Amino acid sequence: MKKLIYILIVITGFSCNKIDLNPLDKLSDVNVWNDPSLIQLYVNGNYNSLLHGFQMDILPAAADETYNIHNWGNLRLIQTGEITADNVSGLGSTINYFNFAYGFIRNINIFFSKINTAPGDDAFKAQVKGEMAFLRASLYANLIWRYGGVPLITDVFELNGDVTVNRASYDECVSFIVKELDAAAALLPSDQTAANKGRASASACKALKARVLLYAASKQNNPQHDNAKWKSAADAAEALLNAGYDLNDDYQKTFLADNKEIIFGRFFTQANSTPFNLHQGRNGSDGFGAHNPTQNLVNAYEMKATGKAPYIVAADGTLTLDGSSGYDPANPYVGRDPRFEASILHDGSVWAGRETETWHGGKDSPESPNAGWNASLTSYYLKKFIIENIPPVGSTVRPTNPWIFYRYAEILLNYAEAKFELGDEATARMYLNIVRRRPGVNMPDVTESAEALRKRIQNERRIELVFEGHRFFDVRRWQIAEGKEPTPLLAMNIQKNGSAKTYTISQLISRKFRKANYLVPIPREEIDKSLGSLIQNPDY
Amino acid sequence: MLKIALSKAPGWVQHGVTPVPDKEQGCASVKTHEDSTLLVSSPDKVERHRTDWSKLLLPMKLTIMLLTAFVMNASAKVSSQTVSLSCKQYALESVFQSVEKQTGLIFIYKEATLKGALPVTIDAKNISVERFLKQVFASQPLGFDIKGQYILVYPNPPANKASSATRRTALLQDTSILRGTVVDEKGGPIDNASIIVAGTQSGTSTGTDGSFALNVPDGTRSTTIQVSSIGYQSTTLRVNSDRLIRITLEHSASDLDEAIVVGYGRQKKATLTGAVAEVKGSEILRSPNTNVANSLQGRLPGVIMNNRSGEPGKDNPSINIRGRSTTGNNSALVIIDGVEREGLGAINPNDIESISVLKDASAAIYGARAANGVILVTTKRGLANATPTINFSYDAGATGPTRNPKMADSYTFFNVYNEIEQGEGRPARYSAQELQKFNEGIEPGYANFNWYNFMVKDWTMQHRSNLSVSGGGERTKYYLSFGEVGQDGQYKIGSTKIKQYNLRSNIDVKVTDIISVGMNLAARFDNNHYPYRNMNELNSHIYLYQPNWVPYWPGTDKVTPNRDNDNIINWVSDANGYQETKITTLQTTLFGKIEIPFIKGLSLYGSGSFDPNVISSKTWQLPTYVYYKDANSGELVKGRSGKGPNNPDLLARNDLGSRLYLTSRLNYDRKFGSHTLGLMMAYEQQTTNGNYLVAYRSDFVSTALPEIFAGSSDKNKQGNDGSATQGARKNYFGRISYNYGEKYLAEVTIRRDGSPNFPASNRWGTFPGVSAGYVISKESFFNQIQFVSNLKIRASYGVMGNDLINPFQYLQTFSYGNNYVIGNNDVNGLVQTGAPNPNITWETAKTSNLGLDASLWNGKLDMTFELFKTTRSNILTKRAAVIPGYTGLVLPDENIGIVENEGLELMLSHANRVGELRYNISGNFAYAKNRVVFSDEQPAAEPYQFATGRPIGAGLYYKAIGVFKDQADIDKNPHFINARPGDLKYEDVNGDKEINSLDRIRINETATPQITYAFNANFQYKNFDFSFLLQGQANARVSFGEYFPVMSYSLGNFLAWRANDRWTPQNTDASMPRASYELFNNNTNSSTQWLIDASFLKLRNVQLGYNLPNRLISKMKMKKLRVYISGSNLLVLADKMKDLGFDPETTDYWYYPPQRVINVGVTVTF
Repeated sequence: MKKLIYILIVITGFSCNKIDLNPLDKLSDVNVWNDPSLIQLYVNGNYNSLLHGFQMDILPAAADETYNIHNWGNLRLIQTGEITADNVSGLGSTINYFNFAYGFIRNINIFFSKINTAPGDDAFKAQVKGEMAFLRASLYANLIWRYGGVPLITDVFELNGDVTVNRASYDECVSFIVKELDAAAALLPSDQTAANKGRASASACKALKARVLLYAASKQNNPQHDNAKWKSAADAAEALLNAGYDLNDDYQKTFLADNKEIIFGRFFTQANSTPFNLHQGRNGSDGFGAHNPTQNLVNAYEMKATGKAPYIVAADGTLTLDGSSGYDPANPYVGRDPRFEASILHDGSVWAGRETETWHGGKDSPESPNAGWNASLTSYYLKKFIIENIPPVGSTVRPTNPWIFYRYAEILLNYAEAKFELGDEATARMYLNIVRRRPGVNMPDVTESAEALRKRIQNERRIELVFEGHRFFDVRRWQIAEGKEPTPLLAMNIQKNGSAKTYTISQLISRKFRKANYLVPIPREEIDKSLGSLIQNPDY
Repeated sequence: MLKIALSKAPGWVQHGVTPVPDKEQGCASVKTHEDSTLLVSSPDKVERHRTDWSKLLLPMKLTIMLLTAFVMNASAKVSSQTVSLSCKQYALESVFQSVEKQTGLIFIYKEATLKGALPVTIDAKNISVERFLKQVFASQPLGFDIKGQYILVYPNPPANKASSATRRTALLQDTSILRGTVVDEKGGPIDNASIIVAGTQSGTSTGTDGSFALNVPDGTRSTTIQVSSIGYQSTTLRVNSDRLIRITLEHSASDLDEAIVVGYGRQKKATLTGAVAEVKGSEILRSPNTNVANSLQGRLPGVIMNNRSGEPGKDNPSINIRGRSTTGNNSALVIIDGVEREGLGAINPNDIESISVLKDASAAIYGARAANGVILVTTKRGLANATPTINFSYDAGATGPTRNPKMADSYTFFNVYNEIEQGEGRPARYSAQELQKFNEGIEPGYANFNWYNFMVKDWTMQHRSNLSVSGGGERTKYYLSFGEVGQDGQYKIGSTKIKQYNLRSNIDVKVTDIISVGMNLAARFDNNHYPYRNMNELNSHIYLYQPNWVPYWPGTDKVTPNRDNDNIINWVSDANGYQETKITTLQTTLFGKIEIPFIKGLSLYGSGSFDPNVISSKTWQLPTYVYYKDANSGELVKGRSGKGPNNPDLLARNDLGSRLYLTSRLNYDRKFGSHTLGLMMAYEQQTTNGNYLVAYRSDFVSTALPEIFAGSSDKNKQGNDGSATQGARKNYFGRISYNYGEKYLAEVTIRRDGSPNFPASNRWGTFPGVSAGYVISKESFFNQIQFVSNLKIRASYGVMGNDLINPFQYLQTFSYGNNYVIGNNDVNGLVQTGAPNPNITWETAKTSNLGLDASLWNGKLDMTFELFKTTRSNILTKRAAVIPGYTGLVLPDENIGIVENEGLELMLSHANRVGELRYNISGNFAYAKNRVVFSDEQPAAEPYQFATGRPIGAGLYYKAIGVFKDQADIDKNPHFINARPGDLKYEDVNGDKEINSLDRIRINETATPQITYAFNANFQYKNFDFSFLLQGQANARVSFGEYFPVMSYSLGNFLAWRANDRWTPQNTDASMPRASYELFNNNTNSSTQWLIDASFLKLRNVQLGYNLPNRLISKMKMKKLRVYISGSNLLVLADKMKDLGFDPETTDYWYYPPQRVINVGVTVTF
């Protein structure tokens, strides 16, 4: 009897468990900051702060480049000028970037608060510090491009600390970004080796700096046309002119594989990719037909022979055929800038083994028996970036072509624009024409000057950099959105009678643009939560 | 008073009743008196009834503490009864009556004996019965003998003791007649009670004085009889040698002496001081649901349950005890046979003895896990000294959706199509002639097809069988059972199949008089087979499939390509692959109990439980095929559908989990005269471990072997993952309970819990509970109030905790994720899982409860009334509404919220008999209203937008006040920047002439109902029984958001309800907004338009049963054979979602409807 009691007590005593446990599915703070390889992983994770353009909500659908029939990320509110401080929080992080960016900024700030005391040799620390500084600069750049001056946060907020902030001015942010990029460029190799391809390099820092300074010098942020700002922009672009990059011969293939034109990009593997082909594929091939290039964009492609656009677009959007361009409205896709064929699938384009049919009733039209709700409403599909032999569905293969953040053609155009604004039109034309003379493109030289040349520079940017996320910012910094963006989005309607087709341009949706829309509103609840320390953008 | 008038009876006998416990030992229904040790064979059993349940095992120091504190004189005093009577010249018989009334003793004599009795004159005040009788009998030619409850009266003088013994012996020789009385707890006779000799048809019933005489098989020394009467608990008892007995029946409606399972023990209802709801296993069996939890609906007052989905194997209802008290995790603690366990819904209902729900401070004994209430499940055990009982039951039934969504037809769909096109400035797509064809729905290509009718079966089969054996001898008791359940899914050609096997073995062994041990073992095996596409994907597609689509090419069995060039016919069967989950769960407990010798009432209980489980799941995806029409030849060609990979792939996952749970309790239960004392000290600990491994391969070349090795050897087409978790808990707790004469009741509990979920500094919490009760009806003055048999008030207060959060939030942790590609390799990223909160601790609930129990008119009306209030503070929630996004903080849970929840519960029941119809009806009503006292709120919100002061989950909604008729209507009203005619008109609540998020208001009703009620009735007529249960709820609203308000062909089909009375340029006086190409616009905002009243009244359950007469079945050696037909969820009698075709319990619009069940079954007992 007594024995039994003792046994029971002993059993209980021995089995006393520990309740001081550690998680088995997570690493703790101590592990991470004492191990360079884990620090490297931490840095890796923060590369996802760079928004690539193979997502579902991409900037072309917030500009006049594409119409997303599925309205992914609700970006159409930008196109229709209906964006408010309330509904902006329903948009994807491409536009509603505020919290997305500051989440990563906190990560990077934590990194900087820990890295100096962490183990690891100087070379390692220099590399990761350079990478993280670049990433943070890139986040701030994307913030100011959307919102104007934002709070410059470099410290780590604690849970119960003071959380009030002040928005720094646009120029303060620019100098911060430039300073950070200069420092990062000094820590990083000019280009990464193959094994480290994808990591930030000094060239990436310089390319970002060039764009930041170009935007900072533009009308929106430099209404007084301070030439010093344009000078900085030109210098920053010039720094990359003879850095070993060059235009790739084939425009279309520039986006399908690594090449000498890429200054900095994001690469993909089968396991780490997006179903971009599925999203953009024609409905007739079981794609989602998401981003439909607009007729407005198609009209901006010049004629190969004359270098002239088919239409003269009035301020209210009215189209007047420019007979001297050589454009035939009955054969609208003939004789266009080769970059049109390289970027846009139109009716008749042969793609993945068959002709594209966007005429009403055709396989890729809304009247198609094949998922008509996935059909283009503009009669165009996206072709740029798309690898032809990966079908939208029915394949486990995903596209792995890189997303290019910075490429040489942009640097050339940045340089041309800055030089033009500094009054050096000859240099501006020269660099503009270098872009146009790409072997696979070979468009006639631009010869205009003054305001006409500015328009050519702007249109060249629109065409060359189409769908790469530039247009949304360009129309804002040039302050031409009020004039151009409110023109309705246009679609092509193609009727087929026997073998004859007729082409009619029609309005797809009307648009509005308020002055406030030059900037993106900060979500109302963020203003509320800041206890008034964060000031909303004007007119929201 | 029992007069023996039969001439055959030569003398007197004493009773000799052996209580036959009908449940766990100690729950005898026959009342015996403490001082009648001579006559009652096992009085200890009764007295000890608490000790059996309050067993303890504890480290040494606790033992010593307890021993020194509570070693007391353990001898029980013989309670003496006194009599007061003042009379002159009373008939002796009247004096007897008076004594009987005052003492409850009974005089037994032959009628003839009193013939020579003299009238009595006496003046006595509070003198003992014995002295009183001595005085009375002094002048009589009679003698008396007090034996327990009985006073034998005989002609004077008895020669000596031996002679009276001789007389008794003489009577015993006539063994063929059993005599006695049946009385209630107060000694009042029960008339018309039935007495049956067990296993025979031989029986009788009592007269108005409660007496009976029954022929029993001659020569049988031991007879078992069954005594029953409406309003009383039936009892079975064994009569040994004696032939004169007194049987006390307990009221059944109040079940006052019935023991209810409470935390770490059982308690008599009579002495209960907490708010505990209980449902018996037999009640649960009335509902034919395969998921036990769904059978509880309406049967537990104050427990709010909603069955949101009827998908087999995934149909656990939401359970909120007394509504919601926290914005955090609401789930109640489930204890199965004393151990925290999963699987409430998966228990074999035949194994359930009872389910108790602790709703107030009675749960405080469970400390840091108790705040959301505790559900205690107790399984059946064997009975001591019981012949083996073999029970077999089988039922089979059909289940069908309670409702399917009512979708728009083709004509409506294409009218809407045209309206959208015209609204966008494009020409109408379909001509009037085409619309007419859609209306007719005959011509190929112009079908009007109802996909729900096609895909969903009206009736699906299910069955359940169960076999159990139970019984026991002197030293062992056993309950063994095997159960099996099979259920199919609702899709017509579907492959959903649920199989479940339950095994249980509950063994109790009395090793010695002081040591008993036992083992509970429950094993469960689930084999769940589902098609590859999950329920949500499948049901959303049925919902959205256009009504002009058809499943097969006309005149063929070849499937058409529909959405994504696939066809949902491929999805319900295994054509698209399957998901298979095999779950093996073991729940094992080994326990032992020692009655410490020398200290009466002290016992030590210890148990160890080990619950391992294995989940093995497989997701096997196959390419699907459809038939395409060749554009040129017009032939149907089989081809790959537009979804999924070209080759099969497989994801296999194994989860291993285990829980080790040890407890030891030291119990001391004693009765000192009228003082009943119970003490418990206990220690408990548990450790949980879990891990999983998952592997993936694609590009299987053959479907022959869906096993990982048979997949592609290309490393790029393989994947794997795995992780682990661990947890632990440590608890110390104790309880003191005391009652005085079952009149004054008090209980104090305390618990100290430690949890690794919290940092070391905040790890330990102390949770006290206190309760008291006062049974007014036990007061002497209440003897006058005959119609009140029980009246009790009780109160409780307790502090409890809730630690249901993600563990380790006090640590800064990182997890792998956010991979990136560097150097053409996919490299790991590391992300912070959130900012740490070093101060995190448990939520605290302070709960008070006031209760009233009354039993009137002998159970004709029973009532329980509860009033409660809970204040939950330290609620764990994220400060998402006040911490700005630019801090970049990924917020941890913080102890910030405060919520009050208060309400009441009322339960009424009535039992009666009219002729041979016996019935009881009961109703319950519960009201619970919660109010956020403090939550994280945005400081600048409009005052009417504050969540504070409103129920948890009260959402912000635009107030829809109509539909804009036209542009003029828009222009003269505040509107959204992009409002269009046909859009919803929202109220400008703040009057700033603008509609924006500041105009949203909070609505006080949520999906959790404030009012729940049920009405339950049981009828018994001869061998028939019939019962039904009505259940309802009110003050609930469900907000259907997301795609629900969308009416656009670009999404798919929509509800007919949405399309009826929609705005069109022709119908501008509409109640529903326009159709739109855009899925989301102003009309799809969360607004009162899409907030639907979720109140309902349902016929939850009906059962009609028939017990075959004994004379038929006894030939087949059966004790019982019952056949029944039952139904569950049969009718929605009233609700607001009928037009939508939604079950009012659903919160999802493309849902797997809760199921209606119609069942027939048979139960055989051998």
